[in-house]
Amino acid sequence: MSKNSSLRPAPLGLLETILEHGATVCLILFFVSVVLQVLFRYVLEAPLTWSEEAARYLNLWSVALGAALAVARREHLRVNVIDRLLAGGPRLLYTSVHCFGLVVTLVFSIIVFIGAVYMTIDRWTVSLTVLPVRQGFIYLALAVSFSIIITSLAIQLVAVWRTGYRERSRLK
Amino acid sequence: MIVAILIGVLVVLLILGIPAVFALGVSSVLYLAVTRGIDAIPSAVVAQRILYGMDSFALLALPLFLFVGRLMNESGVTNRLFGFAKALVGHFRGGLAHVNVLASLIFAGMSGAATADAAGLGAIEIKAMREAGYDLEFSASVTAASSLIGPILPPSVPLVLYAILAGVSVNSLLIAGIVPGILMALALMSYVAYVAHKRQLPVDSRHNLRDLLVSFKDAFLALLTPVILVGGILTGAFTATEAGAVASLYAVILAVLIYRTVSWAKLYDIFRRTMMDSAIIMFILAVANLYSWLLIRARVPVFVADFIFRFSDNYWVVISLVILFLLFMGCFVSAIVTINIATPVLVPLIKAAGGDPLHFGIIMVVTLMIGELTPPFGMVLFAITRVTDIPFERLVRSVAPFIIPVAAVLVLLVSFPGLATAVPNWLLQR
Repeated sequence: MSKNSSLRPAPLGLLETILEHGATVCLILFFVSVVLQVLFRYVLEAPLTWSEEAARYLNLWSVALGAALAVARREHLRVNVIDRLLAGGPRLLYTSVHCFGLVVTLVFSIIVFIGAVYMTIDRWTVSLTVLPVRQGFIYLALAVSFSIIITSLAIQLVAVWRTGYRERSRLK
Repeated sequence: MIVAILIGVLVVLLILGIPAVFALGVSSVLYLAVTRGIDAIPSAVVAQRILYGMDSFALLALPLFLFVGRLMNESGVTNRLFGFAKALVGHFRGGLAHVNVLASLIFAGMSGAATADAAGLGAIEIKAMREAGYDLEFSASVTAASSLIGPILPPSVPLVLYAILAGVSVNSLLIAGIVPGILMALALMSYVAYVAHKRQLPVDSRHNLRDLLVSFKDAFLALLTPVILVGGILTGAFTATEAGAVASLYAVILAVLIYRTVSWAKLYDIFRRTMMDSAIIMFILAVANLYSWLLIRARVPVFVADFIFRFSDNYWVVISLVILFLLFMGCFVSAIVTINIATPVLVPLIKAAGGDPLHFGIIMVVTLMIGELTPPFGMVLFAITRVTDIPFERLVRSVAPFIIPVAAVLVLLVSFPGLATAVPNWLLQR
């Protein structure tokens, strides 16, 4: 298994920076919520009502944004045996295999994106149990994440199609 | 046909190099397209299932465990732990190899991932052993093998993942890992003692009581981290997530305010890197939630159980076959991914054969840890080759004998389930 792909990451520029800091800030706020929950429950003996919900959804946003960033940087875990097998193979086979992978991933991402948008709209009027936040806001994390994933995959697909031969040569 | 789509397609997509998270998603969607029609894929249900996979309070322990391990590695605590372990067992023959195992055992109480131990503490251990005259192969191999203790002792990322997927108590499973983790350390130290005697490895001078006390004082505050984490879970005072939160806060105070080895900017960077690791692991878990839901709806675990029981329904035969399967998977796929894919299928099988899912969780993680030491995709081996200049092939050869003590512990755990289950049963009155 490897986090490093043979392919170049999809450059998202400023969006990548926003994603990275956004996800990190969500994780820090999640950390603060969980710590506050423990301190108020065990030290001050006055449990907070909102901290668990806040922690769960901050973590969810952090994971959703981080996962999109990992797609842009091609850092998701994968078995990389195919890279070695195709390193010396014909150009067309190399390009086809990677394009196939990107296309099926793109199809799956579009399906999730459609579902996430539907759920965001459907639950926009429903409130969470404790926090004054709409349930749709939680599904919005998935919709935002998959919209960025789709963009990254589309950029990668074009890049592989155009530069497949050069990428293959780099592997040798 | 159903099994072929859900399992066969997944295997093919993994081999084709599609990231595990998307291989799980694509096979799930393909199954839905075949069974319901391409124009009737319930995209809202797909989104819901993925979201549910990320939304659990127990799951929040994962980023906290990852954060504590990373922060402890970055804060220089590992040097203090190594110094303390050296003062304790450094005077035995092959002392630094024993120190290596003991330091990993202590660090395992703070870190939940083998690669964190191998790449962080491992770099210090290998450097010290090389300077003391140990050969590179042996130093790297002891470090690789001892890092496997990390995911067995609490806090453990693989055990939390398994607990959530198998529906067993996170606290019980983490506690169940204590005795197996200590057993693994003892088995590795026994093997080191054998090699030290056979090869007449170096002996360090015995530390006097004063040195021991000084090193203990130096490491004392750091040693409290596993006490807080494991102690909080053991006594039932905290849930795994709460214990992770308290340990994280303590680690921040220690690293930033007391030791002052981590600046606020560096702390932010540690959060940033934890975020990436956490997102990658939890995103797989989220999509695996969709996949496992479909596996259960398609009754795949029942088909697999029926297929295996056609040959034998004897528990020992079933568990042996499952271990062989996990060893095979461990050679090619990381433990995190295997747990996500295999747990929903294997747990019902083990239950039907009369096994205990809590006990099986420990068996599964220990078995998968062996895979971390085997080619072609041992993650620990990659981590070690990154911190040393040892070629991969040489490391593979030299680490192979260390699989024997780990496998011996696995056999013990399979034969005597009480080694894993007695402590949680007693403490939490399961």
